[in-house]
Amino acid sequence: MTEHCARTGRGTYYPVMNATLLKTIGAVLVLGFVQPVVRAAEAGDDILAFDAFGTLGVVHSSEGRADFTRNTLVPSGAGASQDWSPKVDSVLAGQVSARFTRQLSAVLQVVSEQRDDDSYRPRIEWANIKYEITPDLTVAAGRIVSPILMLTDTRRISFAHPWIRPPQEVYELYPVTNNDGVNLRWRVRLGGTTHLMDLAYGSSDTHYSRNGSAGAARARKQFLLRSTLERGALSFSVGYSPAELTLPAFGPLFDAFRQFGAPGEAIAERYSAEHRSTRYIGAGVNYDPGRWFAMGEWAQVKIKGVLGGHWGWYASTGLRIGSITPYMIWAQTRPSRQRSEPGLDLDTLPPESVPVAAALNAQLNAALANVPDQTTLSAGVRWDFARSLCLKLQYDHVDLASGNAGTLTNFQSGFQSGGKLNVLGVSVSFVL
Amino acid sequence: MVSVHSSIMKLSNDEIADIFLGKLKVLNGSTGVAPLDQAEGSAERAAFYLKFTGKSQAQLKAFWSKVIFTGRGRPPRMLANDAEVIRALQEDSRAIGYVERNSADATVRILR
Repeated sequence: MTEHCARTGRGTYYPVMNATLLKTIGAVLVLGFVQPVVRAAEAGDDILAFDAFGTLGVVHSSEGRADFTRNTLVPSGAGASQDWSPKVDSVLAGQVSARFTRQLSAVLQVVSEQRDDDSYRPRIEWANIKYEITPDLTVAAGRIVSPILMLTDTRRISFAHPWIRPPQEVYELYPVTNNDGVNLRWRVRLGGTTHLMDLAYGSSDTHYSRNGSAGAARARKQFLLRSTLERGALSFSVGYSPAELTLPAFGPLFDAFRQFGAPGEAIAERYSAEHRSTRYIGAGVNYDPGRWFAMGEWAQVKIKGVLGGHWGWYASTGLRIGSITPYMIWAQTRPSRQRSEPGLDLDTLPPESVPVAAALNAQLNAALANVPDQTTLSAGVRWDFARSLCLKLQYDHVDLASGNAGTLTNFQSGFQSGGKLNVLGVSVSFVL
Repeated sequence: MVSVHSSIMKLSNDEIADIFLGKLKVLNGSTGVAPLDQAEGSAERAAFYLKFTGKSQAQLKAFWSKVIFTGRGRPPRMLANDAEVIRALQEDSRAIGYVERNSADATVRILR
């Protein structure tokens, strides 16, 4: 077994690792067997496990002059780019987990899905070493997907959820999900109630490319506190996550404002996207006694500066009839408030500066207004047609608020904001 | 059921469910528990989970996929049949398993 594991571990995972920390974790994962193999084996635990999950899906959108995308980081999807797009829901992931001793374990998960550069180049989603101080208190270091919302850390595993994808109105409010740092998880049981507490601290870079603008969202001093109460079929969860966010892509815009003296500097100061504090809060409830389920979540993001704030919520229910699960989702996202900025006062400027100043004002106001405002009503069905395999069919009716383009991207000439669109998705998901 | 050498005398339905869902690993602050599963697709397994957790086998698979792919744990050790479960219970006083009622013998303690 040892030989087999070491071979597969090296062959599969070494080529994709790059960062020093991730390399170290990989090395520990692979080289770590040699010694602790016998000890762990005696305890009857698996030393090493390989798992995989994936989804193959296609999506069609009735809006042909813009793209409906998997998230708000990627440039293309269904609609203008492709009539039936595999990009929205398809994903393939492989994971190796190793347990060296009863306390020490490690996990490495590599995911291939559409990225900001439109490639499917595999990316490391999880890579961490975990130490169980007690069975109910664990500390992990490395890359972790922060459980900011109830499903953030499992959002790609379509097989784990009734829906084809988690509602974008809530799950795309704040697309920074990775956290390179430390995570503490504490479980306390009182009577029949389990209280789970997650604490995390770290940083992350998330790359995006939308409507011709590409760059990275750099989150630093990313802190997370999440508290979950579980009792039988009921769970309730609240999360709080402050961070410091920088979007270098906005740098040139505010540098240009600064050329206009004190009024320009004041605008740059107010709206700049450098080291701005962000705050994310959310609460969710899930009731799943088996035969049916109901769940809902609410979340709000506040970002100082040009990005502003928005909030979203969803409510969903479904019925399990044998292997068939019909379900509905109602979801909405809205800006916290409508924002506009008079900008530079054109009347006080010399005539030759007016066109530039007017263009900057327009660019700033476009950025301020670029917050999705939409409501989606979805109906779908999941069919567990074989062990570890399920088929899903989901129809979404998206209603964009007046003058708003929602979460769409890649706008073509003739696109009308504030419309309605219908989205149809079909997918097959598995876990191994 | 557990080994006759186990210190576990009784468990509530919720405790049994949480032990097999990996949510309860230590009893009374000190007694470690190691759940044992029967083979996927076995009638014992389907009946056990439906009774104690309300979950079908597909729902159970969905549940564990969330745990596995977040690096938080793994499902209970899986054994082929009743005889293997009983043998494992005799060997490990921390172990807890389920078998067809007629398969239980004097070396194990029936909890429910």
